[in-house]
Amino acid sequence: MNPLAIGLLLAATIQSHRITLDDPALAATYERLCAAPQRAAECPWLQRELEVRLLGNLQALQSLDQPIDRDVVRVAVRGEFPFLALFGLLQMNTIDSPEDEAAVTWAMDHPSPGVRRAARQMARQAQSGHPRLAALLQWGSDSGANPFGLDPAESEDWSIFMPEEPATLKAFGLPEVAALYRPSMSTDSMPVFTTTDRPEKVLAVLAKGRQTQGAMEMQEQAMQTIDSSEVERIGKEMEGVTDQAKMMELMTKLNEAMLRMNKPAEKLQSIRDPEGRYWELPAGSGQPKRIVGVGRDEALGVTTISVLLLQ
Amino acid sequence: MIFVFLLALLAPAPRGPDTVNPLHDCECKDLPRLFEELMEQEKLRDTCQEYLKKPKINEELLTIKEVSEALSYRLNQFVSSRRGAQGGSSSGSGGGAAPAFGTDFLHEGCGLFKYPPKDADGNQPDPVPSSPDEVRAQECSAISEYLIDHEKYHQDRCKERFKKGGDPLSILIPSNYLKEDCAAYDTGIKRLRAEIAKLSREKCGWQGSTKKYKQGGFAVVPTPDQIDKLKDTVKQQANALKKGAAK
Repeated sequence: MNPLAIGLLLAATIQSHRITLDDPALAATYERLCAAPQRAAECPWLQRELEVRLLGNLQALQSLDQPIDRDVVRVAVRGEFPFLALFGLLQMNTIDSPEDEAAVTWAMDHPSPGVRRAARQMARQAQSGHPRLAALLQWGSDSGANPFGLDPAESEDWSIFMPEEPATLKAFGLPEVAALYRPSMSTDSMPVFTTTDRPEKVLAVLAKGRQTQGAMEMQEQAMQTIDSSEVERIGKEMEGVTDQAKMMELMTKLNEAMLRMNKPAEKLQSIRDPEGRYWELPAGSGQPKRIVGVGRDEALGVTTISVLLLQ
Repeated sequence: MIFVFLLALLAPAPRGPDTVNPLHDCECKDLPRLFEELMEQEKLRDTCQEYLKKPKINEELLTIKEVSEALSYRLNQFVSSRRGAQGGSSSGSGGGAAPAFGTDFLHEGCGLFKYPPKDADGNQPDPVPSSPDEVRAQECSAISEYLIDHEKYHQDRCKERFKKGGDPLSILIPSNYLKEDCAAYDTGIKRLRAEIAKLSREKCGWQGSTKKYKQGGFAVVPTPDQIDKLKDTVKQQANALKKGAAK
């Protein structure tokens, strides 16, 4: 079954109450209640209903081979309903304008991993003519990209369309600041947040008087704490060993020792901005050891907050 | 030649005019006949699928005669009941006298066959080679094109079998044949629906289907006015979402 059709089916199934307004009346109601400075409490529900209906109408137009206005396609790409966003991305196909780029960038941070994946894949294909997209792709990870193309239907894993709760700074033991969680820039081991505030202002709240380090300082410290003596010792032990079983045992020991030796270098993964400031938070209260970094990404015009989770 | 007989039953030509005309488009007056043809094709497709579901079909290799008899029984029953309801010949001038077409599965060319109507004594003449042009000359385009598409599906699969060096006789296994034929019906039906939609929209001022979504990838026929309304609605919905998102 078409993934979009499944989406419509799901949407219809999960609706707990029905809206009897016809399409134009629903759009007018949404505009009246939800475009106002104070959004009404019903807006999330109205928005979902409106998005589902828009998707249905877009599918109908598509089935009639009718062209779909580019502006409408961009609205679809920015849709919260995952299947509307996916429809929009498939319709958009190429990134032709700054407005298209902004919409795809938006979709790269969609709560649904399936939409994010499709948007990232599209951005990856189009990045050469779009420096902002190229800058964004420096962050995050391409893991899980669909080798078959934009349409993730091939994966047959529908859970990738379930929206995820956004991460919060508080969840990582940090005070909340006005920053957005950016799935597009995050990896499993390093959630990233961005804000338009300057790094100094963010640091003042997040670091709260803690001693921070620059990238160089952190690198030097990491290098100093690397202890190669154990690796060297095992290396010497291996010299002249002819027994195969013994050699295997030493090889295992050597690998383990090398992992231990490189452990201090793990924290260097958090360095994204050489001018950024970094500090370590110890493990505790259900939290692993963390390296927090605050820096600037000038290409994106944002201050970045990264939280590297060390194992 | 049982297979040709079977094909003739499964892909019957419509009851069209006996005279041979050059390629010509269908007219608005043909629409009722086209819809009737569509109903018949869909019924046959459904019957085909019904048989395909029977476990026996998948187990027995030599029941093609049974299948052909069963299908022809169903077909005759369906046609006669509809004719009965309408008081005689349903439409068209042929009344089942027009030839049926089929595919020669046993030879590498996978050519198109024409199966002439029974003679005055009720005897079935041997099939003779035919061509898409002959089909086109016999029927207006909506019908000829769907018939050609149906048979082309068989012809393409047949050519694939020869190309891959497979056993051409494998198609005589009922389950294989039914699988292919159900898909061929789908192909023909899709084309027939599209042709009806095109004729209705472009020539006959059809007021359109009120259905919003096409079913199974088939064409529907909204009016230009309905399409314009739909476009307006989409713009209205998109604008509302845009304004809501700006807050």
